[in-house]
Amino acid sequence: MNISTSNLTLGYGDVIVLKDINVAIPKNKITILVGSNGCGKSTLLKTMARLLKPMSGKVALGDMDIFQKPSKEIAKELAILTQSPDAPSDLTVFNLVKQGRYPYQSWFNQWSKEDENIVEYALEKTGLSDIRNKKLSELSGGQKQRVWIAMTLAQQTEIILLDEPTNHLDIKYKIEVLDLLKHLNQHENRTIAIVLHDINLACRYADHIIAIKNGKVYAEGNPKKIVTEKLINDVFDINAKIIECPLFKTPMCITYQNLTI
Amino acid sequence: MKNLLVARKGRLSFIYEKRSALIFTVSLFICIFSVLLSLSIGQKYISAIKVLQILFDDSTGGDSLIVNTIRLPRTLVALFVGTSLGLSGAILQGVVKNPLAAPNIIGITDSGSVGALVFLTLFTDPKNNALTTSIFYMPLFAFAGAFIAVLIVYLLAYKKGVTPYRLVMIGIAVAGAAKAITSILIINGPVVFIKEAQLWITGTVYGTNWTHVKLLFPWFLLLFIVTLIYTRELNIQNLDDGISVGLGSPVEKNRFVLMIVSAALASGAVAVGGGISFVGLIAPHICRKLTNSSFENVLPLSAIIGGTIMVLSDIVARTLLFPLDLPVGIFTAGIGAPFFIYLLFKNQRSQRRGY
Repeated sequence: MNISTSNLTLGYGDVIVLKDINVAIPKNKITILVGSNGCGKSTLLKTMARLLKPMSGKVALGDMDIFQKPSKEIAKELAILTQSPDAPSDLTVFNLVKQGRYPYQSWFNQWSKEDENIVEYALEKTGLSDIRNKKLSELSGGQKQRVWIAMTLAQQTEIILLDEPTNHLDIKYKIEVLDLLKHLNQHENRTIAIVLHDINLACRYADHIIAIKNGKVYAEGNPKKIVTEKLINDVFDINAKIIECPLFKTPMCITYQNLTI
Repeated sequence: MKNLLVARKGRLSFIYEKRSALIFTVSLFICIFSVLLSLSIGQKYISAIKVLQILFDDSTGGDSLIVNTIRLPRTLVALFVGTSLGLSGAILQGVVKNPLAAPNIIGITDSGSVGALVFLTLFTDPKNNALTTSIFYMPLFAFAGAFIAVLIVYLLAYKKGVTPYRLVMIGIAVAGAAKAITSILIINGPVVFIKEAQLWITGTVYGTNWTHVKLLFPWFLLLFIVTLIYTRELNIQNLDDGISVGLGSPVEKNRFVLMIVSAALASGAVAVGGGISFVGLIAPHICRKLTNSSFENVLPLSAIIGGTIMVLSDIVARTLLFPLDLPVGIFTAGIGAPFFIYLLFKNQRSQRRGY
């Protein structure tokens, strides 16, 4: 299942945030959307997940307009994890991960064998099996984020969209979350699209980067090809020197404001 | 999976937490015990065994008259007012994603009072201060007042969909306006009217009879069934809207249906029992403390605990200063207010949501 946009114009009220966006999220790859604060990358991600209605243009999931398709059917093909979601803190890990099965269930069929197996798989993948009965309030930030990812995994979708999944996490947990996503991409062929602030982590984990600037797609492609000093300067409005990351051989930016003072 | 009860047959499948099932059973027993207690205590003490005999067997004699025509209808009204308020509060707290929500916060109770006072104003004869029509029509007015208020709150909060935050803010404003109207009606009304109005606003089940039970019970039962059907949706409502839409839930539609169900439950309770406060707030809270925020636990338990609180409060209300029959609302508030303060203090330390 492919997801793509055609002539998408997005905004809030009368303010246009993004204009005439034509992008496709490559299948079975990790795509990372980058750009400065307020550039509309989250808005684009949310629209691709049908959470926001575009001012004009289309989002296609497979060969169907996403806004024409029944929402529950979309939920079986595409999962979205919004930024820092909230849930009652006395829910247990299991309570929450179970909700990922919602699109497959009905009042008469609330806990099929399949539901059980898939929730079991999601808990195991995210390393939460042993703490399934803990309450959310007892978890660390990284664990909590893994619970949400487990919930989207329980949705059993080919495509997973994540809006800043590493927000407010320590560097250790950032890597933990991104490694998990990389694993899901490589071992289960999931198509993953992430909005991420950190350009260096984006370069390390992305197969495909979409850089957004002034309401337009500034550049897209493999980080090794497109991430240049000019791109950093144009997109993030800061000077940078690009070197090769000694570990991952991906581009690495060292940013500076102004070396002359 | 050891702590879960799972039932599967063909395409049917259900899941329930064992611990919650146990707590539910115990609560149900406590509730039944409270009802029996309420039937035996009063001006004349009737032993629980005698009460059971009267209920299931022998329905003649003086004791039977006391139980069947006075205590049983009153106790059942208290019970169903409590179950309705408990359930209404639980639903509302899920819909607005805030554990401090209660039917009175979004103006249901105060607007019910307006309805009741409009009735008293319209149908009191100023010459002799007597009612010109039957007092039995008062619940209809109270119900209309409460229900119209909820529709107003919903419409005013609507702006390309309704956000929980706007619902609460507008609810508080409407409740405030309703209070002002109540004051005007009381100040301008005849003097005898003040006592009747004050009693009603405090909330009382004094003088309720089988007619009230027949009005309230089917109403509660119907809405309880609707609520059970919507349990899964409430669990989804309790998450962030983005997540709920992402899971494929029709968030706006469900929010509207659940608001209406919550309002209808509370309006029914207010219509018969008056402005009883705090039951809708504390019953769901006690449930969360006993189980967790999953609604398959919270909903049935809130109803039972709400009912139990009302029945027990009414026992205290009519026996504490006997022969004075105090309005039960004093005692639900008497227990509820300190608990509310405790919750506020506790919430400062473990903040659940950002606002």
